[in-house]
Amino acid sequence: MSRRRTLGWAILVGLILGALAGYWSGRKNGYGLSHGQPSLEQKTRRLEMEYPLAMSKKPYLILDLLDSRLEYRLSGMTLKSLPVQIESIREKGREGRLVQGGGLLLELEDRGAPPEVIVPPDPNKPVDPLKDPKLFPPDPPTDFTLVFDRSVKVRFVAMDQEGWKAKIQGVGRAVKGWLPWGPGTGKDETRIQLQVPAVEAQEIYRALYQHERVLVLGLSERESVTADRSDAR
Amino acid sequence: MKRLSWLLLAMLFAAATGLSLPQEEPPPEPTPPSEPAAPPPSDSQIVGQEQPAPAEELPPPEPEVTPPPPPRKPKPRKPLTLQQKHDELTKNLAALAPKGIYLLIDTGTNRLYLMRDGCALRAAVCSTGSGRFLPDVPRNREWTFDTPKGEFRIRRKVVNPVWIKPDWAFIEEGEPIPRSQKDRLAPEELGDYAMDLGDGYLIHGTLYERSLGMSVTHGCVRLGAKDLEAVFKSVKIGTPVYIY
Repeated sequence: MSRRRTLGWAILVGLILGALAGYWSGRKNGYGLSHGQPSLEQKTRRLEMEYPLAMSKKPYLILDLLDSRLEYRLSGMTLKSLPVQIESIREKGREGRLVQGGGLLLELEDRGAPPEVIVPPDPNKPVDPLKDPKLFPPDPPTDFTLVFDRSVKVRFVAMDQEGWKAKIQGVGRAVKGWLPWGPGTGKDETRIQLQVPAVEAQEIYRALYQHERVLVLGLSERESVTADRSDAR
Repeated sequence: MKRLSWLLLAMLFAAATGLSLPQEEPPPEPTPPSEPAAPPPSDSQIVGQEQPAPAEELPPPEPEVTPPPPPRKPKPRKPLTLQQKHDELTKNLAALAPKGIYLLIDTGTNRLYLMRDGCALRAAVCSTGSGRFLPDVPRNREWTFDTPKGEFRIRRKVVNPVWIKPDWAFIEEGEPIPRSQKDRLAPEELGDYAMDLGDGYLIHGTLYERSLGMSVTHGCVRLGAKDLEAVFKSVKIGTPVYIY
């Protein structure tokens, strides 16, 4: 009897978790849909925002939420362009909205994980060359959150892989991310969640350094300006 | 008698009206002694610049009839139209792009591209910085092994470079730092060629080609032997290198 009961509970919990995960990962919000052509004024404004970055001789990123693309740029050249899928945009805990012509220049403060610290090996102990991180470094994460100034966080999550094992991992990740990243959280910040293929997530993580500058297109400056003013005393 | 009366009458009329009768010219009066004459102008005054005359010698200059021309104001630049502004910004951005041969290094995918005028001539697998952190607590030093990003230029090209191992290379291995320079030399570590990007960062070869494509270096860019030779022969000192 108790065994049946346990089984029943397990099925019930499984169903609830599955429903939650399905709801969370399967939401279609239409963020990446077309928002019409930008006007000449909006295009000029974008160029005005980008020009100082291009003159700096340092690489910068353009996260174009309207076009769902992440572009790597340097000296005005587009060096790489990756498609991204927008999962959610939340401004101060509420559903955010994209604004044609909106732009926000951000600086990366934290890429979500401290750098790996090198511990010198004991010269008396033999080292397995296959486990030597100098030759075979650990894989970068596929789920990480970038913390920017102006109270903006961008989370990159790897897209679910094919196969039942990957599906279970996806459900686990969705449940795990529910508490810190779900609706109602982050009342003081802007949160953007993006999905990319796992390889690209690692690629993005690997190439990001602290103080990297990112121009986010489609995000209104209004929210952040309000936040800055409320902080000023 | 009658003639005399007529003559008197005529003289009276002339006196009344101020007319003078034709008479002999009086001898010229002696002119008053004038001021000493100005010296004749010298050659320098003719060829050279004009010198102002003393005020007392010349009558004051006549007031100019025509009013002086108003001072020229700088022409106000016409404000650019939105379209002109857009075109100018687009043009300026495009002008920043390099021309001729240059290198692109993608630290995310560990790829190096030899480019000419926007077209890739060669794509090579490389290795870039590991991003790992090495503290040297006793000496209060630390290193982060990142490949620097941005726009650089080839500063020096070296054939058969010899690596002089810095302190971190020994600390990382848990070895004591040698005192002699001779103990720091690693002649074959950097491969056959090296291209200096400044601040100690190089594009060079490697003994460990198996780890190409991975982020394992201390900030330098490693290439396989064949790619290194091709790149080395294609670039010149001053060739731009873009790392992103």
